[in-house]
Amino acid sequence: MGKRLRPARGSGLNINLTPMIDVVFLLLIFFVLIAQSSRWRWAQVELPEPEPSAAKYVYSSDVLTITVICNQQGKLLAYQVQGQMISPEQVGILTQKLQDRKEANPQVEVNLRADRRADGQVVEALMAACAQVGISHVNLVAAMEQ
Amino acid sequence: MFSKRYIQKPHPAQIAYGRTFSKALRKARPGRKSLLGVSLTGMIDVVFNLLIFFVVITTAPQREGFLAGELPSASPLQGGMEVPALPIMISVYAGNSFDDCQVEMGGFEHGPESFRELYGVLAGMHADGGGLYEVDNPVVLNLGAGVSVDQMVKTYNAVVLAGFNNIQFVRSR
Repeated sequence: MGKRLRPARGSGLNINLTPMIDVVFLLLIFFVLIAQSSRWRWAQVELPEPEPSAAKYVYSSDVLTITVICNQQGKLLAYQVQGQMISPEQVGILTQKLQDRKEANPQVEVNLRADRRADGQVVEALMAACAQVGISHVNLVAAMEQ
Repeated sequence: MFSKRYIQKPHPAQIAYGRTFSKALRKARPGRKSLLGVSLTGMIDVVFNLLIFFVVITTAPQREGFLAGELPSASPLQGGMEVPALPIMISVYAGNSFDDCQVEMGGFEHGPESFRELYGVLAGMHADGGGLYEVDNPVVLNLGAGVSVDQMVKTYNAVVLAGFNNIQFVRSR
């Protein structure tokens, strides 16, 4: 009885686990990368590319990034803050977010990621909004040297 | 003398599904090599590695950096601060396109032709470059109507690159 249940030697499928685990892990890494890149990607904007560029990456523990999105003609379409799209008419929401972050952390920094085609006045208005709520660390985002 | 293995009866699966299944079974066996003698497992491994490599490379975002700025407690945009006595005045006027603009500098008859030239002039005015202006000397950027973010950032970049750190924005009324 017990002898019957035993799998026949040399006739069944012998699967080597090592390469299978290898491939499974590769697939896992692949899908994790895909998922991460789609989740955390900021809105695509054409950043200014000064040459030579003085832009540097400096780590900061608390940064609020505001992305200014515009169309081909430079017309302002929306702001993106913490993944949320804010239309130009809802600028009050943006000011409220700045206020909230300032209250949560007085040392908060603001990074302005503006499309190169946008009107400079938009960035100036954002700087004025930051100054109004008392945020003094405001950085302009630009492409770094390749 | 033949061993017992070679005169063994065919596997029941072979009988049931015929030759095709048998061939497929043999092909799927691990360690099997293709006609070229390449291990399929290793090849799949390498192909996946290459796939991940190219996906990561192509989705890598543009390298972004920051041009650090410090706003005064009362912004000059709101008219709350007086401009110091001896600032370096730079005016930018928009042209016909995003890349076209005119730059003028206070005290200079002819403005620089490019942002690189602007940087060169400013670097020469800086104390490190043999000029009279210190690092904290105010530099006032007067941006005219229609100046794009590109022109604004490139002007700002030229000033930062030249070594000045006290930069203020004004807008002509």
